[in-house]
Amino acid sequence: MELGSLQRRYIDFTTALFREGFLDNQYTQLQQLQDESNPEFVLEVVTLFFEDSEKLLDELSRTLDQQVVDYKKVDAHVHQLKGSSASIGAQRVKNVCMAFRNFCEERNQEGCLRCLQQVRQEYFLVKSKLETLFRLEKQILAAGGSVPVLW
Amino acid sequence: MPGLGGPPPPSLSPLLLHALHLLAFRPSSALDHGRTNLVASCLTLARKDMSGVVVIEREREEENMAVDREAQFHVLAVDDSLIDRKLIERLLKTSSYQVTTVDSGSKALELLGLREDQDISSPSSPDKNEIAVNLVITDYCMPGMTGYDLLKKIKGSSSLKDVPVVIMSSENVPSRINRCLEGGAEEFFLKPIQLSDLIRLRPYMLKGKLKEQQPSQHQETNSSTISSCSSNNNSKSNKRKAMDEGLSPEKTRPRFSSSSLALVSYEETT
Repeated sequence: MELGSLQRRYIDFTTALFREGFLDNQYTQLQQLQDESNPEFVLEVVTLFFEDSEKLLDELSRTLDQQVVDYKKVDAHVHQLKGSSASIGAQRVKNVCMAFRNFCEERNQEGCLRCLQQVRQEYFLVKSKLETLFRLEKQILAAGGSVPVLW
Repeated sequence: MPGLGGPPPPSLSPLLLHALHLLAFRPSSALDHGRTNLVASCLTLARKDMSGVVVIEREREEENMAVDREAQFHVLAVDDSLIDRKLIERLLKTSSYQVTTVDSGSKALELLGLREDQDISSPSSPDKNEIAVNLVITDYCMPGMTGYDLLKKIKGSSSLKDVPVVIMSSENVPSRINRCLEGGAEEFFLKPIQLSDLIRLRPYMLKGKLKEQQPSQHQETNSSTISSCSSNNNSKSNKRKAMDEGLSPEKTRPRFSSSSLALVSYEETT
């Protein structure tokens, strides 16, 4: 694909991500922290987020699957997931985590399980969106262009 | 607001301009695009009001930047989350601070030369791994030693009690915030931390440096002016954060000891 349409696609895609609430201003903050001295900063942080989140989601499944659920443990995991999603600007994941913590407090297993399903869904959605975003950036750079700055 | 070409307002003194320049350009790198909108807009305001004078000063300042070798401030950042450690490190480096990160309060104490069971750092044969810091920024929620515990240890140590400590948390809990401030924390930041938050750190580090040196009237005025300019907008944004989560801003407005810095910063009322 030629550079111009790649860049247009990037702009449209990014704008939609923000409009639909997948990403919030914190993601922009990350982008602003990236520069020539740290050209892969966003990718590095987001990759850490992916690794961390998948570990947490597995832990959450395991913990909620117990005969006697340790809600303190569940809450601790959700707290961590909420924190890391907030840190990278994964807004929808963060929002589900907030609801999730309420169910933990109520010791509501059904509510927790529903939230786990939801948070998993939102996580994989944002993961796929971000991977597309990074792919587009790579393609633009490979075509000799620069990634549009939307802030 | 007076426009271009109008007489400069009497309130906008050269002292404020100088303070803003210090804030914006020292120390910094040529590639530093992390300077906040806040400082930029302050300078733009100043520029509009003072017409040609500011632009010239700014250009001269930029020339001096490369030659300027002001000592860097060293910040110790404590957070059990790897992502947040990476973030805070980048934020601090972008703000031209030297950074060391650790993942626990006990590691922090070790680096500061204070063992958990001690109240004073070992006077003889200091550990070669010890570092000197101008500020400690720590997460509140950590397994083992919380940020609050770490704060108390630092403030309870005769050798470290003057090191400014800032606490961060993803949770907006007024009682927690008050407890930390009363425990001696200079500030309490809500996560995620932004570049604009870090501007607020400079006065604490400057204050620390001033304590070591001869107190200079000029410098002190600058620090308080800097503080008032940055705190103005930042306290509003923190208030907004607190209000979004349904809490009264009063409860989350940081309180300070009776330093003049505090009075200047929080004089403003909504």
